[in-house]
Amino acid sequence: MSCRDCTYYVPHALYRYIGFCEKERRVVIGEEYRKCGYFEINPDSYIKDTIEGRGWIYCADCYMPIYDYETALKHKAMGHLLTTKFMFDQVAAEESPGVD
Amino acid sequence: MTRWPLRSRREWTELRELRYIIGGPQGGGLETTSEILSWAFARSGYGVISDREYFSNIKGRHSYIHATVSGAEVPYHLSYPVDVIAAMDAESVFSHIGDIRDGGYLIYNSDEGQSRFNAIPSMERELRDRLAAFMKAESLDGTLASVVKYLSDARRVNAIGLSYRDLLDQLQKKESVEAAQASRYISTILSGAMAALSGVSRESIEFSMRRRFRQDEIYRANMTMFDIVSSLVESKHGSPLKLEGSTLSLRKMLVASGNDTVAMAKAVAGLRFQSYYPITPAADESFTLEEYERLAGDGPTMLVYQLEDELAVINAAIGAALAGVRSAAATSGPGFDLMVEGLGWAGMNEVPVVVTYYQRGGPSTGQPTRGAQSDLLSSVFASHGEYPRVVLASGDHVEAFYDTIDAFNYAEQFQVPVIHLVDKFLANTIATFPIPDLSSVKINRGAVIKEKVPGYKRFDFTYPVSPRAPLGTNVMWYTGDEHDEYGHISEDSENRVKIMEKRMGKLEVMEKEIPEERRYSYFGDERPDLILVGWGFVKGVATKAVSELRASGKKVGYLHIRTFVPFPSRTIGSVAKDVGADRLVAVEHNYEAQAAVLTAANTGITIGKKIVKFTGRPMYANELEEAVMRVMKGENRVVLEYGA
Amino acid sequence: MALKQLTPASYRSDVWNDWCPGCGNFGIVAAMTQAFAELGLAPESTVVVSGIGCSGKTPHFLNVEGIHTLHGRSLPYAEGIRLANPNLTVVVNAGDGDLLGIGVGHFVSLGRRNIDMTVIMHDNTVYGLTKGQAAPTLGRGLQPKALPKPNIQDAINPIALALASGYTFIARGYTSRVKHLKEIIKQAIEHKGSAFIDVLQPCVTYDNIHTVEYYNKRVYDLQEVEKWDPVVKSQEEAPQKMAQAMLKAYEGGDRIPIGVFYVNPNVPTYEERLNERLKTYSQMPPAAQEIDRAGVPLIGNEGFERIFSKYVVTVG
Repeated sequence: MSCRDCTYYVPHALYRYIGFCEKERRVVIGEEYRKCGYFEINPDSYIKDTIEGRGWIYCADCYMPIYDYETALKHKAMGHLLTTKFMFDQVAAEESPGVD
Repeated sequence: MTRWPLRSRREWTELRELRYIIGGPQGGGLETTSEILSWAFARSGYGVISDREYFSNIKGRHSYIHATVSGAEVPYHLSYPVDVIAAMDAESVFSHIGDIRDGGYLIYNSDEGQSRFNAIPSMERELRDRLAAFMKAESLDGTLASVVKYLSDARRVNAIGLSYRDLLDQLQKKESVEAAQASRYISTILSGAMAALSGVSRESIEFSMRRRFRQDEIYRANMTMFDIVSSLVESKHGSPLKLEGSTLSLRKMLVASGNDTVAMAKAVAGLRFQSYYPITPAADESFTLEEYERLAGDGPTMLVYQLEDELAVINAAIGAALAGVRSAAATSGPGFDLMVEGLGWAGMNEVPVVVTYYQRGGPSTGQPTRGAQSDLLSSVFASHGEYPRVVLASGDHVEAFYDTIDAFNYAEQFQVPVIHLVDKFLANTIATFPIPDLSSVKINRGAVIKEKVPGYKRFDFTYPVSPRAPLGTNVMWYTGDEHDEYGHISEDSENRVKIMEKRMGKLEVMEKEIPEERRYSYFGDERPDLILVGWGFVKGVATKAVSELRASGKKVGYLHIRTFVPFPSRTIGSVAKDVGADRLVAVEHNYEAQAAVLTAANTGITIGKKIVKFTGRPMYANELEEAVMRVMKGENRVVLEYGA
Repeated sequence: MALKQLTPASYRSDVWNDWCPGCGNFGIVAAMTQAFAELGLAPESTVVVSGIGCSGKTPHFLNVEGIHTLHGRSLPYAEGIRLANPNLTVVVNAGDGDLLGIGVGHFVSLGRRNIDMTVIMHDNTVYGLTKGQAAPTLGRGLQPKALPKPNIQDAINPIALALASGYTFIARGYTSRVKHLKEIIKQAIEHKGSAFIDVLQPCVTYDNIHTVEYYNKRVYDLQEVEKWDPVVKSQEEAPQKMAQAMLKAYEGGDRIPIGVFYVNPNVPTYEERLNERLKTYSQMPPAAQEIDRAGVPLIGNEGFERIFSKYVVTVG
């Protein structure tokens, strides 16, 4: 078990090993696991509820949206991180050029 | 150089060609007079060309018809001086004092004898100033009466003063005059006087009037007016301008404006979708298409779609083309400018779409109602990036008809946007020409796939021109971004090279498939001392000038460019070699001589001699002949400027 | 060919989706593909047209006819396609900058025509692909993080503009409520006439104001919460229903209504108007017409002179 299995872990959009702990409000490294007292695993229904509610879930390891439950389960079985939320990126405007 | 007034020495020695001007306030019935006379002359077996000159104004400013009628050739040129000026109002006489030949005929409203040129508010300041100088030089008091007297005395003009008020009065005693169509009767006064002088038969006029006036009462009242006027004029003056019997073999012909001619050709070509936004001088074409939208009424139709702007126009036309229909937009300079981005999308996505481009004077709003050929470079280079296109240019009604059909064929055969250049001169000129023989017309839709093809690739690299499936048959993608064979965005370098080579490679395909002889025509001596090089509406006047100059012993020719992409490089190259590049003279309706610029770009040949006109009025045979003589004497650039 | 069961996956292409991880647009793709599947639309007769920007890429992620056009011009393309072939289902996906900025003239004009098609507006208040400038839907005084200064232009109200323009189906959806959005898209596609859906779509990279959390707190369903009846029963009722929807369109701040604001099935579609005029439009639209027989034009010498007899003069 590591932070990236925790429900309060918000991954970085590009660097999968960086994350944000919503409880401690600080950067954590995804692979580590601290005994922090907040650790909680997403309920089994999380993926299903997300896909039903929002229509998709994002595989942070494959960098792609997944629109159906069966595919999401396969990714999950491989230990991929599935989420809809990514770390807020304050420097995007400085780092991303205008592209259109 | 002062261009006005012109003193003319043309004498009515041979009755082979009649030239006339009919002038009047815009909206005052000129259109009707022009049609009635054109149809009547055609009905009598003569060829006619009738140009319309007008202001950007709904009602009131001076407008005129300038025509040539001939039974010796189907005329396609205009010239000065004219034999007759028929004036609806005093301003028309003032505006054309210099245009009438010595011994010519003037029809005017005698009620307006005391009208002064400087009290006419619609007259432009510059003309008023020129007239003031003229009146002073000739010691005239500025009234219409004084000008008429001057013309009669100094220029031996036969002035035919008619009281238009009395004529209307007479008519009202015989027929009920429809108030809402009052201007019709003024039109008919002029038609009547013109018909009498030129000896047009009453039957021919009846034929025209029947076509023009569908309502019986209006027809009858106008025939009555015609009879009143024609018998009055004929009894006093006879028919001094009666043309020799026509030797033309035309037994049946089309009498149509350029706008209408292109519309008819689009119907034949299988146009099914035309989008437009109102703009002069293009919009009349779309009106005509709409009038004939149901074609034969047996099923097939043409959908004419008016949109909110030209941005929408081109893109809707492209959309329809993606669905597999023959689709076009008709526009003029300011509208074309807005279309340019869409044109690039069509180039990028290999969409067959036709833009009929009616040139008018630019830049910007320019001269909305005046003609020009100044959008050639814009057509050839429009839109950023590089993509193949076809650019055609029509010189007369017959060319415009067949070029329109070719435009659609080329668009589909090569899957490119086609720009068909015409201009205001052609658009608004009524001409007589043989009915096109459609048995020789072919429709070429290029490579089309209508069935479902597994793994269909819209931009299949196997072909330079990949088979085109209409939307609704196969799943495919289009994008303005650079793309792969499927139409998906790709920024890969190797793919970029491949698809650029495929797309641009169509230029070579076009180079092979469009024969050199389709790209130009030539008139004149085989071994000329001088060759005029022109395009578009220049054709009529240039061929006339060439034949006149040849008749006087000069060895000249006219090389007429019909396609700019692909360009007739081989021909111009060999002509320049045979005759010498220094003996080529560009003749164009623009300042720079744009076709000469393209000649240099395509062939490296510099055409250093130029005869140009950019006043918005067409070139006249007399001024072009004179200009050619000046070039022969060594001038390098002659700027023409005749015409009110 | 055996009929394959169409699922949302049938409508997705294998092109990698390069929208930002977590992008609100995924919800639009999800809702659209679900709606297409439930309506059983054939991929080759379904056309998704887009403009420029992030929303512009939508067609590439779908396995239907995809037309990725120019900035602001998606509607004219869609109109040309639909009028040439009214057997196609046409769905436009375009951004707020596309429809209400550079292409707003086309947006208003489509309303006047009531062409039978669906317009899905990706409403994220910013220009994403050019890095977050203010779009026409961004309110005055707001400063998403990419803006150097707060926005000093007012926002266009998309629902109000659609009402004034004459759209006959007007709704708002929210990307995080996919079922709701799917139902609205289905209704819009089935509606006869021009349908407009304003889709609240958080831009996760450039808009730190209009986030999922922001909308989750404020959004409520008109039909569920207020039993809102958007349907105009007869044309006489139209002004009143429209005025009511207009008021609702301006509700904002802490409560943002989603759902169907206005439906008027009483206005003839452009296609119906065309059929009235052309008589054969419905059975024989432009794309279904032949124009030649083995390379010979349908109009021959005789037909030409008959149709255009007005221009033919016989020397007499």
